[in-house]
Order: sequence, then C-alpha cells, then structure tokens
Amino acid sequence: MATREAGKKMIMLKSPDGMEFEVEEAVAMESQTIRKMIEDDCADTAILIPNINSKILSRVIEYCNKHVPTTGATGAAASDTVAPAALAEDLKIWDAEFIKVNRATRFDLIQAASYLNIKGLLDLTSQTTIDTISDNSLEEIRSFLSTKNDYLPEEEQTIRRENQWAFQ
Amino acid sequence: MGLSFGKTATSPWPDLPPELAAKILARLLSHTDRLSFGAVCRGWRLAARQHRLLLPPSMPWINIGSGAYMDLAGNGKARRFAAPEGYRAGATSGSWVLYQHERSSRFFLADPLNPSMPAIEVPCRYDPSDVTGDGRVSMRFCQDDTFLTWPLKKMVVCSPHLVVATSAYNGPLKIACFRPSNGTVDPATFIWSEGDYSHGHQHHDWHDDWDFIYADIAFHHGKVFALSLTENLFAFDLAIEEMSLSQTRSRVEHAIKEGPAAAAGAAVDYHNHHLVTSPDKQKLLMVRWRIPLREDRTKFHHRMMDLQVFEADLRKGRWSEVKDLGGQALFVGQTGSRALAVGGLSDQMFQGNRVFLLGDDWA
Repeated sequence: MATREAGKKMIMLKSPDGMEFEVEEAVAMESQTIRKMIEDDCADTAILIPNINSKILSRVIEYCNKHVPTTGATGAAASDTVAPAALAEDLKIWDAEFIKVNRATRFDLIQAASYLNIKGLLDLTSQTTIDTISDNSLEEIRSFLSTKNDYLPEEEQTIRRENQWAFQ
Repeated sequence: MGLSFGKTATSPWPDLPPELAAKILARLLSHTDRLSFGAVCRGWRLAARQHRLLLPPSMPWINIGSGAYMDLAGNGKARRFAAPEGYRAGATSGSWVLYQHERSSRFFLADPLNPSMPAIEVPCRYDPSDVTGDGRVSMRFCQDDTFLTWPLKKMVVCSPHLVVATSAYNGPLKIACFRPSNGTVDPATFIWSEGDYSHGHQHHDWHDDWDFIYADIAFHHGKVFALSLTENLFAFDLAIEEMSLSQTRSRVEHAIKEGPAAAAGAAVDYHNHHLVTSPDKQKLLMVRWRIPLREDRTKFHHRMMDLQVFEADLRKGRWSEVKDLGGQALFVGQTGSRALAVGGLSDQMFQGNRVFLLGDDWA
C-alpha cells in the first residue's frame, strides 16, 4: 500500500454489532453500493452496513485495501514502479490465501460481496463454489456444501430422470 | 445417502438468496453444471427455474464422435450422450442428436435440451460400404432402404414439419417433409422430396455450376438460406402441402449474386464458409476463413489464417463486412453453427468478438 497522504478523505463504516472501521474513501468505493451512497450524498460521517458482522466486514475491508491500487481510477501512481504482470500475479497469490476460509465464512463473504457489490470479491468467493459444482457429482457437491438432500425420493427420481442425459 | 454430517442441519447454503444464486448460476457457463446446480436442493432448484430465462447463454458442446461429447465450458472431460435403451447416439446437427436404433438401424432426431419435443424419424442410414478417410462411416439419405445420391453433410430442423439437408459432394438441397404419426405404433416420419431441390424454378439467371454447390445452409426468418461456394446466397421459401413440397407455392430467390471482394493473399488455399444467424435473430452472417497452403501442399501456415465475417444485406443484395462482432461470439462448424451473446461474461476464453472454429475439418 502507498503511504497514506494527508488530506485523503476518510469514511467510517459501522457494522451492526457496533464496531467502527475508518477507511479511505477510495477503498470504500471499491463497493459499488457504498460508491452510490457517497455519490448520492447519502453518506454523512458514518455508513451503517446492515447484515454484515464486524468479522466479515473487516475481511471485506482487507480485500478492498489490497485491491484498490490496481483497480482504483486514481490510485495508479502507487503501482507505477511495479510491472503490471507481477502485480497481477502477486494479487492472485494474495487472493488464494485470502479465500482459505471455512465454508461458513465463505458463505458470509459471498453474501457481503453481493450486497456491497464488489465484483472482484464476488468472483473470488463464488469461484470455489463454481469449482465445486463443476468437478463433482451431485453427492459430492451436497457433502461439500453440507447441504442436505431435501427432496422426497420420488422428486429425486424425477430430477435424475430429467437430467439423465447429462449426467451419464 | 448413508453419510451424516454433524452440522448438516445448519448449513447456510440451501438458503442462498435467489438473487445471489442467480449470480453464481450466471457464472456457470456449462449447461451440465447448471443442471447440477438445480439438482442440489429445493432452494437452488427454485432459483435455477426462476432465473432460467435471464441467464447468459451456456457454452456449446462438441460432438467428438462415438456417442461422446465435450462441454466447451467443462473441465475437458468427455461425456456421453444419454440414449434410450437400444439406441446409439451418433451424429449431431445443431442441438439435434441423431439416434440410431441398433436393431433396425432406423434414425431418429431428438433434442436432448428439449426432452418434451417428440423424436422424429429421418430417412438416413449409415452406408457401411462408404468409409471416409478418417475411418468414419458416412451417413446417406435413403428412401425405403435404398440409398439416395450422396452422403449427408448437414441437416437443419426448420420446424417440426420440415427438415432440410445438404449432401457432402453435390450442392442441391434435400428437403424432408413431415408425415404425422398415426397415433400409436409408427413414429413421425420424414420423407425426402423427390429429386434435389434447386433446379426447375422459374427466373433463375445463374449460369455457373459452382453456384449450385452449397457450402452451408441456415434457417433464418422463415426461409432456408443456402450459401454457394461462389459466395452467392439463395433464399428458399418452402411451402409444404400434404406432406410434400409444393412446387407451385415454393419460391427460390437469388438473394446475393456476387461474393464480397476476395481477401488478398495466396491464390491457393484451404477455405471454408459458414452461415450463422446472429443471437438476436436479426442478421444472417457469413464466416469465411482461409489458410494458405505451403508449397508442398501438405501443411498449413497456421499463423496465416485469414478470417472475415460478412452480414447479408438482403435489401441491397450484397455482403457487407463486419469488422467488429461486439458482444457476439460465433461458434462455427460443419454440422452446425451458433452465435451467442456473451457480452456480459467475464470468462477469459468465451469473450465477444471472437470466432470459434469447431470440428475436425482443419486440425
């Protein structure tokens, strides 16, 4: 990260469990939802982020902090000295580490990314789910997501019949 | 399932909000994966149903022969076409799969993506005496167990009542008309029109025989368009009367009478043409690609492929080149082509303004 310059506008984000996070406006605006609030002047000194607890919100801010220099329109100066390819590679490795969380946390992160509309984070968090779906049988998907098969036996049969041609 | 997980009951995944489920679904580009998604649990099935029409298109499958296909957006694994017992999946034409009944060798077209569509019998047979260079048995038109003319190249299902086909070596169209099922025993059957369809119409003013050899056909705006090797375009307006083609009400129009200016380059080359309808069904596109041959005429200059896309301007009767396909990706192949709107996808491979050449005709 670039050193924090004086005069940078800061935004206060509040989680419903009462924690407050002071972040640079540019970092907060990684979220399209917050960007819209700021642009529409709905944001005073603090923005309450409903439904996202402090544990998840802090991780989301961590993600935005890491990603703001490359995606922020005005943040290009900080990365001028590093080759873009190397930077992208570094981000990829960082992302891979970031997403090493348990299923419940990942689920919360997906929801947060969706609500806050942070495309990169949504891509990252949903990719694991997508990989799970792509590579595995139905039983494996269910066990991986700890999802119970809630179909009645006859419904299950109907679905299997409908999809039979694809699952051979 | 026999297995029990300690926290099964508290898994949040079944309660994935529908709009979030839709976002994940939209990132699944494989149709098979989307089906898996919808089969996981009730909540996901509901989400998949609700958003079915709003999703970006899933990517095509390629028929790799012997009843197997490859999902372009899949993980590279070959999958098998499911076939009813006693049947074998064979050729494909667009989204239609041609199933062979093993004992009687009769052929049926069915669309696995629309299982409610009834299968239709088509008069074709494998000709065991005619094996192509790469060891495949060619498929021929036939009528009452007698082979007709040439091997089949491409079939287009225009409507449940009309199938049009071209053959591999000669140009003219074969047209099959629908004979409805008699209720219980016999399946619906197509009968080929007598003779090949293109001559015998009034007002034809073409002279060059090459104009009759069709490189590709497509169904567009209710007509069958046929592209000749000379890049002329013919529009067939086919009228069906009592299970056969009406010679009086059917029309053929010489829609485009000359090809666009030839691309610069070597005179000797390998070339191929495809017709495809744009994703919004408004435009008819021609893809022309050519690879100059090396001097020994055996190997291609892979890097010298020359690929152009043209739009048929039917009002002015000419081709106009399309320099930018925008958010469209074209998948073109010998047995079927498809244009998809992929503008919103963030996938690295399946992006707009790209043409994908499918099949084994140049690899």
